[in-house]
Amino acid sequence: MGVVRVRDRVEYSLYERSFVPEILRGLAITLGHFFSNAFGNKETRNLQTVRYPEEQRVYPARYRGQHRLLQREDGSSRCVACYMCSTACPAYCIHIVAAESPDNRIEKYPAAFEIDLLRCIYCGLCVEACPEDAIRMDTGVHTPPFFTRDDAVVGRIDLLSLMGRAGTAPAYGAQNYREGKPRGA
Amino acid sequence: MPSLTLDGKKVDFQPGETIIQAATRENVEIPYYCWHPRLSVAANCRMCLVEVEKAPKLMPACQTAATDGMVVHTQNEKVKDAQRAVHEFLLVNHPIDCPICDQAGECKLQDYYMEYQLAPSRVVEHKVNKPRLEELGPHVVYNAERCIVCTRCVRFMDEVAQNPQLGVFNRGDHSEIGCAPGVVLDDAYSLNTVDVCPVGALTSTIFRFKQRAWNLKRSDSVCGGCARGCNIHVDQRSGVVYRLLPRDNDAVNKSWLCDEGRLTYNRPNEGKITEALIREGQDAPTTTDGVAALNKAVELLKPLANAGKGVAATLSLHATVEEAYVFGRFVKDVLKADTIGLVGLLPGGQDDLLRVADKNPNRAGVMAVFADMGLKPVDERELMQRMKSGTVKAWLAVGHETSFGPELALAAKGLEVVVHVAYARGPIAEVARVTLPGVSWVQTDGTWVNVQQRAQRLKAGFLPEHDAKPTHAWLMDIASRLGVAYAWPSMTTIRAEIESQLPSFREAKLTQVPPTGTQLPWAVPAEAASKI
Amino acid sequence: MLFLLVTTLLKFVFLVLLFIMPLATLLTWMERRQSALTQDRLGPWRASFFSIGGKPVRLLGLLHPIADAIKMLFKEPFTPASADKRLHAIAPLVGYVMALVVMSVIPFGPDIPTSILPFVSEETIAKYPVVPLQVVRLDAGILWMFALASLGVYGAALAGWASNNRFALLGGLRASAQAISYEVALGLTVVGILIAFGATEPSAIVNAQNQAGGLGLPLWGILVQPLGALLFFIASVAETKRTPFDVPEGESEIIGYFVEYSSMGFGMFMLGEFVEIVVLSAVFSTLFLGGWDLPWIMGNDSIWLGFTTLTPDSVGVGTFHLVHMLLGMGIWGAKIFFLCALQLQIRWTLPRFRYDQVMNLGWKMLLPLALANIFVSAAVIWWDPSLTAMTVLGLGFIGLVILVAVAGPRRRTAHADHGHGSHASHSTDSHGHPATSH
Ligand code: SF4
Ligand code: SF4
Ligand code: SF4
Ligand code: SF4
Ligand code: FES
Repeated sequence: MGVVRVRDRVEYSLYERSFVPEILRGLAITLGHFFSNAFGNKETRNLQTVRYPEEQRVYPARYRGQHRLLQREDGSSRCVACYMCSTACPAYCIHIVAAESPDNRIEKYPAAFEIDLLRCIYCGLCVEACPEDAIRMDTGVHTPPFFTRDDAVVGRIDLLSLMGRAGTAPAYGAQNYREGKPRGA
Repeated sequence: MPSLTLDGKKVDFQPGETIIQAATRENVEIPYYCWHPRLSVAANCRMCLVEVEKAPKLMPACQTAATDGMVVHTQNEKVKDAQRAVHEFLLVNHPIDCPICDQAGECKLQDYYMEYQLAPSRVVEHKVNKPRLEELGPHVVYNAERCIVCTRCVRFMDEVAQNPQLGVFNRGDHSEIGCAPGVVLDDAYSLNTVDVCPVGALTSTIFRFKQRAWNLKRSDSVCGGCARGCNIHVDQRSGVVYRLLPRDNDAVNKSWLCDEGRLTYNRPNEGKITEALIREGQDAPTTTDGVAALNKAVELLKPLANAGKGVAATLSLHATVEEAYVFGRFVKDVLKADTIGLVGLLPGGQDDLLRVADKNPNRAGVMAVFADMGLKPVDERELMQRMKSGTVKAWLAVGHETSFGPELALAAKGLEVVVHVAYARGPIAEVARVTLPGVSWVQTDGTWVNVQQRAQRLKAGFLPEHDAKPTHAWLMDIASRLGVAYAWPSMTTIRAEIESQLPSFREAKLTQVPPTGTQLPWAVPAEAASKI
Repeated sequence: MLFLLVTTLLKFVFLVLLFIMPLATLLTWMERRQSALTQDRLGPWRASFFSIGGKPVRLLGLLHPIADAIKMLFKEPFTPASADKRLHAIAPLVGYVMALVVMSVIPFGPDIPTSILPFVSEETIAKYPVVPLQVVRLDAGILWMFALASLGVYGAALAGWASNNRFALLGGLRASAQAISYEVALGLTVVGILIAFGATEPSAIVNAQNQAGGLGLPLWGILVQPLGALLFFIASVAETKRTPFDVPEGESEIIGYFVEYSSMGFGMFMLGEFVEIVVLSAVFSTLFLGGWDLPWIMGNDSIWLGFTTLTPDSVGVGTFHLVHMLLGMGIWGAKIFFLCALQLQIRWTLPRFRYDQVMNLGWKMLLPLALANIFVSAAVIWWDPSLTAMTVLGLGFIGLVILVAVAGPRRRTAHADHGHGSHASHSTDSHGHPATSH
């Protein structure tokens, strides 16, 4: 719990309440920036703009980009349709339809797995929640532009086809707990 | 009265009670798996161990009879140790695949682990592998790995369903539940085994993988599958009902619900309409704006309201008492129909437990309202007769729950005016000029009277979507546009009016029906008897 | 008659199509570019319609207003179902038209003798000896100006009401309340000018300012009536509904009276705002900065160029008046441009006032000060009708303000003095609590 500090409002002097001198001083500051940026030389300029897309910043290694679903060795989705991600999602943007998997060791698989990227706030909670390491945000791609709302809903096949960015942790192979191997070994 | 000391507190009990019964009444929690208040005691899970002074070892609370002067401890270190140990033992071979287990979120094993064990696993051996997907019957799937062999399901089939289709096979950690060769779990009450199973070993095919338990929103209602009116919980998410579960009511269904009733979960979803339908000429109905449809309905009904001849009005036997009353007032004050009809479902399977032949959940209530209001309803056959003979020229059909839908629709083809209020698009909606979107019983606030003459309350689980409105609201809208303004701002005012106007309901206290219903002072028919 | 019609039309076309609209459009670009540079950003620079030698032509982003206009025109004009359709359509035009009409009484250059114009007959010259560079010359020009300027707020009020949206209505109400409050101060500050120059006709006021004053200084309004100029400027910023007086818009709370406008409807409001800036700058320069006049250089019949002095005799009447006119118009435009840029800069310097602060400022500070200004000016004029005393007083006031601004007391920052806000902030203290105003 933060401490709430209640403070009395500051009484301003007549001088301050006349605003004029203070405004003149404020104008001096903003005009100073304006002139040094508009008419100054390289040293005095302080422009922060990056001219995307001609200039691009390098995203940090742990940048949360678009989601992807990871595959098992046989190419099927690692996701077991447990709804943990959609439960954790604060934006309610993951829609899953679970179905009976033909492989009864796996039991469940997502017949549909859709993320509405327009609703997604890229918080990464889905990645944290996943017990199967089936969903990651390591593609390094940010949301593409959409022309329709429907385009923004990415389905299972598309999510499975995305690749992780080089340098991020590789996915480990499918594990069967019955073999007694610890996960990730 | 004999008494015992429970954690230092004096607790009275009836002779013959067990420790767990006494403790439950006192709100002292003793964890249990195999015990079930409505089943015999098996005492095989050992979760309920408590310390009884002077006893040589810990005693299972579910089995040990309470005796006068007994001193019981449920919270001391010894008991907690035992609980930890028992729980660890239960988990030795448990797969703990909660993410793909349907029980997760409402699983006793999860809850008790968090509360009584909360220790990391020490198991390094391979777990015992067992079948994970065994279809015991048409509705029940068994996962042997998750089973803790509490035998609740076996005892349910033996004792309540009285159809011993399940048994325990093999021994030790290879024990599993199954059916004898040639037997399938196809009893009419088989899905109760899924409810009694404390873990995710038994799952129901109708709910399996459809939704996670924590996503569902629960409301209290009454089953519409037959006239028994079993008390239920309705579990829904975003307006889709996923399952119906029994709600305890000693006077009606105890803790049980038949499979047939559970399968009605999909009725509120099937063909549901939330927008009005309108039909021009011979075309198929198209959706339209609610106000436009209401205006059209009023325009169609207006000339009939004064003619008073050749007009039929029918109500479904699924209607609540309140709807029946509003309907009665509507046909008397506004429509002046000369043919009043009741439509419903044909009788079906019954047994001596819960199911009764009458598949209409509120026949008793609707009949009582009609009798008190002096309305003499005809049945579907008579109605069709009158339509064909031309005695009936216009039809206001409230509710679509009838076994004669297609036949009625065929008979009504020639009518000039058919106005329909229903929550789903059935055969009648296809011939109606206007169909106003109503709401199903899970979205209705109202009262049903079951075969035992017990008034039970339905609670709306979620709000009507789009243009949908409860039937009585539509009728009141039409009435007000035809110049009759009813002063019923709320359900309570309607109920109060029923209590004061209808003799049968004078004692009913409709305005304050408790969650388990009130018995009405009416004659109970013979078919209401149950052996449950 | 025809002559009058043609010249008036020409002047109007010049003013609207060649001056106000291009300047307002330019201001939309300047607004963004200037704010960007003030905030160490780049602002719009990318728009380009063609390239030369493979390099897109970008002109510092000057093409952005065109791109914006195209975008606006192609957006869907949306009218809410429950809106009052006619009023909703008319509202954006109201403020716009009023602002343009106000412009018609502003003199934008010196009078030119009709005789130097081509294609004019003798009678015409006799009938209309001079062509004033002013669309109409009205005796009560100033009053006409204020009468119409106050009608401008109908645009916002109608938009708010016709949209049938609570936020829009709130915006419209705020706009009207604010306009009414500041109208009072605006009108009263002008009284000082009227007292000083004894005229209500804008070009007469300009001419009066062009006279050399007692101290060798021109009699510009800003020197004679510095307090009036300050109050007028503040009130006119409030009239344009821009920061720090943009509560009717208040995009962080109510979005404003134009919340239900899209496409060109919104575009009109946006452009209208800039037109208002231009118009109020023009009014300000007419009343306080000597209109088209350039003191010491431009005389009625001489132009001093440093190395030589042009007179009608030395270069010929036609050439002299042409140069005189062009120079006057250029000076006039430059003054307006400067004032517009200043208003933009103020917007990017100050935060928004809270609504009660706006009202307090209008009624409890501007109004009493404007009244005091009237009484003091009247007394001084009565004592010394030659305006010299007034100029001395005015210079003293300006000096005082500058002195106070440079040497005035400052609050220490939050670190040094925990109880107080940072020195540049006047509307919130260091913990974000809004400060009381008085
Ligand atoms: S990143 Fe956050 S918002 Fe987006 S899908 Fe995952 S949990 Fe939801
Ligand atoms: S949490 Fe992981 S396994 Fe579970 S549904 Fe989401 S992606 Fe699939
Ligand atoms: S039965 Fe309970 S503990 Fe076992 S996997 Fe299912 S949810 Fe998890
Ligand atoms: S299936 Fe469930 S109810 Fe039956 S024995 Fe196993 S755990 Fe108990
Ligand atoms: S509950 Fe008592 S032993 Fe299972």
